[in-house]
Amino acid sequence: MTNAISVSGLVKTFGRTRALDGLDLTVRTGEVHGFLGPNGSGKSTTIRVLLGLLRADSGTARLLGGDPWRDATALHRRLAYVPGDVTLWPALSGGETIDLLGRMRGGLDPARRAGLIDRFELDPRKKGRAYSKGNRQKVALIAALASDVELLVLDEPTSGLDPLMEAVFQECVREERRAGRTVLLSSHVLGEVEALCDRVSIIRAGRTVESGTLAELRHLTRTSIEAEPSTAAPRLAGLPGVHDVRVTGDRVSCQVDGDALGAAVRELAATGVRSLVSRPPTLEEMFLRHYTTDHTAGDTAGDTAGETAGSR
Amino acid sequence: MSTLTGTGSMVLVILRRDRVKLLAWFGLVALIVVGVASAVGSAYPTEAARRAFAATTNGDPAQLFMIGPIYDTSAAGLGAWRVRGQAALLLGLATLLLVVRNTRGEEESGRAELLGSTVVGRHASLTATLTVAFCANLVTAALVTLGLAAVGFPVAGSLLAALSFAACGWVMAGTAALAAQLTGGARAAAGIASAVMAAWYVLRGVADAGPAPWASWLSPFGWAQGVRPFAGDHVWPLLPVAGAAVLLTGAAYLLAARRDLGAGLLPDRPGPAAAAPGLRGPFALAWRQHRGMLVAWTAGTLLLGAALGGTAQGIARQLGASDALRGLIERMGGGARPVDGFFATIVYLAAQVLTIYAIEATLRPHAEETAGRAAAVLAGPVGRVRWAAGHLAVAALGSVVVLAGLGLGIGVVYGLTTGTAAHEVPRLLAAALVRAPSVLVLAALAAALYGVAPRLAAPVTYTVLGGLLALELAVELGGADASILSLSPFARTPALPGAAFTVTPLLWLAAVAAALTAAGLFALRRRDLTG
Ligand SMILES: Nc1ncnc2c1ncn2[C@@H]1O[C@H](COP(=O)(O)OP(=O)(O)O)[C@@H](O)[C@H]1O
Ligand SMILES: [Mg+2]
Repeated sequence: MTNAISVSGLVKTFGRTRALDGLDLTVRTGEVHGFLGPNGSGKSTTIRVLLGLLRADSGTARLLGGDPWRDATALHRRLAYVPGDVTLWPALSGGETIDLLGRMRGGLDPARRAGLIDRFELDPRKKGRAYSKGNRQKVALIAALASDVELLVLDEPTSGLDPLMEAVFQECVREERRAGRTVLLSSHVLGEVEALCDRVSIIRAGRTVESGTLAELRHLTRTSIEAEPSTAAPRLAGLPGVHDVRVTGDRVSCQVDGDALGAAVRELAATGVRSLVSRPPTLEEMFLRHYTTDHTAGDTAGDTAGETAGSR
Repeated sequence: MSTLTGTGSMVLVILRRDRVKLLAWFGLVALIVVGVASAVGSAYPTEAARRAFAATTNGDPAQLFMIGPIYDTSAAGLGAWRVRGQAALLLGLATLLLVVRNTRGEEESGRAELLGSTVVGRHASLTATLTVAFCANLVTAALVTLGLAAVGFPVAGSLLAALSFAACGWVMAGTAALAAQLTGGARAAAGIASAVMAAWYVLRGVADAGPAPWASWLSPFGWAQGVRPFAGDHVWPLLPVAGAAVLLTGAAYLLAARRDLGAGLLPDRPGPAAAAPGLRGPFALAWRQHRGMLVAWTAGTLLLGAALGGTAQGIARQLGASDALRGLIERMGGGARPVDGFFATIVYLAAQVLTIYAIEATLRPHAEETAGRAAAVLAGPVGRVRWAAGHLAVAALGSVVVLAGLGLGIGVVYGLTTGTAAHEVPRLLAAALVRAPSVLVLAALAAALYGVAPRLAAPVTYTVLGGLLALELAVELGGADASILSLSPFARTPALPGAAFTVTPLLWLAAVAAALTAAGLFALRRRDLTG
C-alpha cells in the first residue's frame, strides 16, 4: 500500500456552509505532505473527517488502508494528531497530559519523551490552565512526536510557537520522515511547508486547486528571469507565455510560464547573453497567484490570502 | 483608553449571552418567593393558628437554625419569614454563578482575551458583570415587591423584604468577584464563593439557634434578617450589607488591577512531571475530572443529612402543625410514625435537588466536547461509547454515592441522638438509595439528549426537572390533584422509610434510565462531533 491517505470528491456541509466541496487529497506513505489553504478553506474539516470525528456527506476517504469513520478506533492506534487549537485539562499537568495521551495510544518512548521536553523547553509540571497557547501546542506536539505511530496528522501545529521553537519543530519533522513516518501537515505558514514538504496540496473553498511536488507546482507557474543585455526584450515580449517584460538600463526582466522557458532561453542565447539570473517561483508566489486570481474571479476566500501571506 | 472603555457594549454582550439563564434564575426566584410567601398565609388562616405556630417555631432550635426567628405573626410576616432563607440563598447562588461565569469563566475559555484585545478596558468585563448582577437583583426585588403587594401584603414591608433578599445577592456579587480574582479556574472560584456563602448562612443559623443571637450580626444574612419586614421595617441594616458589597467589590478591583489576564492570585501548585501509573485510559481520566465535584457534593449531602438528622424530632413536630406539609408527609407514609414521614419527605425533596449533581456530571462529556478536549481523546484509539460511558459510569456511581451521603448523614446522627444507630443507619441509607433509579432517569434523559442534540441537553433536562418541582409545589400549595405526580419518577419511588418497599417501580425506572442511556450512546456514535 503506497498511499497513507486517499480522499476523493469529499463533500461536507454544515447547514448552508459547504465546508468541503469535492476535495481530493493523496498522501503517499513516508512523505511529508503540505496541506495548504487560507483560513476557512476546509483544512481542519478534512482532518476531522479523516479522524472520524465528522462524517462526510459524500465522497470517499481511506486512511492507512481503512475507513476513517468505521474503523476509527483501530486506525487511531497507528496515528497521532495535534489539533490547531489545543485545549488541555485544566487540572492535569503538562507531563500528565503527555503521558495520558501517549498511554491511550499504546505507550510512548520515555527517552524520546524526555528528549522532546528538553528540546521544546517545556515545563511539564505546570497545570494545563497555566500554559500559554504556544506551550499548550508544545504539550500536544510532544505527546504526538513521542508516540510510536505510522502517521502524524498535524493541523497548523506551529501557530503559537516562536521562531526558535518553530525551528525545533522542523527538525523533529525531518527526523520523523527519516524514521519512515508519514506526516500530513496543514499549514498556512508557507516557509514551513517549503522547508519540510515533499508534496503539497493547495485547497481553496473546500476544493483542491493544486497538488504535486514543489517542482511540479513550480513547473505550472512562472519563473522570473533577469538578463543582460536587454536587446532581446522586444522579441521576448512577442513570445506566448512570457509576461511582464521590463527593461531597466541594460537589463531585462520577465516572468515566464513553465512551458515557454525553452523558447525564452533560446531568444536570450541568440542575443549573446552576458549574465542570466533565473529564479523559480516561491511557494508564496504560487499561493498568492492562486488566491489573487481567484479573488478577481469574485470569491470570498481571496481576502484571507493576503492576510495569510502577510503573516509569514 | 480608560480601564472602563467598552463597559456598555460588554453589558449588552452579557445580556445577550445570558438572557435565558438570567430569566430562568432570577425570574424563577421571584416566582417562588411570591408563590411560597403568599401560600403560607392560607396554611394558617387564623391569627391564633399563626401565633401558635410562631411560638413553637421561635422555641425550636431547628427552625431557628434553618430560617431564623419569626418576628411578626401577620400573614405577611409569616410569609416573609418562610421565604427568607430560600430567597437569600437562591439569589446569592444565582448571582455568584452569574458573576463567576462572566468573569473567570470567560477568561478561562480564552474569550476574554479575544475581547480584551479589542477596544475594551481591563476593568470593563468586571464592571459590566457587576452592573448586570446589580440590576438583576434590583429587578428581582421590584418583581417581588409588586408580587407581594399584589397578594395584599403591605407595600413598605414588601419593598423592604424584597430589598433585603436582593442585598444578599449584592453581597454575593462582591464575594464572587473577589473569588474570581483568586483562582485560575471558574469551578474553583464558584466553589470558594459558595463555601463562603454557606459559612455565612451557617454562622447566622448557629447564632439564631444558640445562646448568642447577637452573633448573627457577624453574617450578611443576619443583617438582611435584621430588616424585619412587616415587623418594624428597619432600613438601617441594609447599610452594612451595602457597605460589605462595596468593600468586597473594591477589593476585587484592587486585585484585578494587580494580576495578569487568565492568572489567579492564589498560585497554581505545580503538578507532577509525569502521570501516575493509574492515569492511563478514558475511565481514569473521567474519574480524575469528576472527583473534585463528587467529593464536594458528598461532603455537602453528609452535612445536610447530619443537620437534618440532628433536628428531625423537632422538625417533624413542627411540620405536623402545617396543613400543606402534613398532606405531603401523609402521602409519604408518615401516618404510623411521623418522623419516618418526615425522613421520607426530605429524602424525596433532597433527591430532586441532588439530581442537579447527576445532570451536571452526566453532561461532562458535552463540556469536554465543546472545549475540544474530547477530540484529543477520540483521536486516540478510544471509541466514542467507551469514552462517554466512562463519564456516565462515574456520574451514575457518583449519584449513588451522593445519595448514600445523605442517608448516612441522617441515619448516623439521628441514630446516635436516639441511641438506635444500628437500627436507623441501614433504614435511612436504604431510604436514600432507593431514590437512585429516579435520579438516574433524569440523568439518563440528559445523556439521551446529549447523544441526539447536545445543545438542547442542559436546557431541556433542567426544564423537565424544574417542571417536576413545580408539579410538587402545585400539589402542595395550589391544591392540584396529587394524581398528576404520577408523571414524576420521584413520586413513583416507594417513600421509604415510611412506606412499604416495592421493587416493581424501581425496575421500571431503571429500565427507562437504561433505555435512555443506550439511545444516547447509540446516537452519539452516529453524529458529528462538535468543537
Ligand atoms: N462545526 C461547524 N459548524 C459550522 N460551520 C463549520 C463548522 N466547522 C467548520 N465550519 C465552516 O467550514 C469552513 C471550513 O472550516 P475549516 O475546515 O475549519 O477551515 P480551515 O481549517 O482551513 O481554516 C469554514 O467556513 C467554517 O466556518
Ligand atoms: Mg483550521
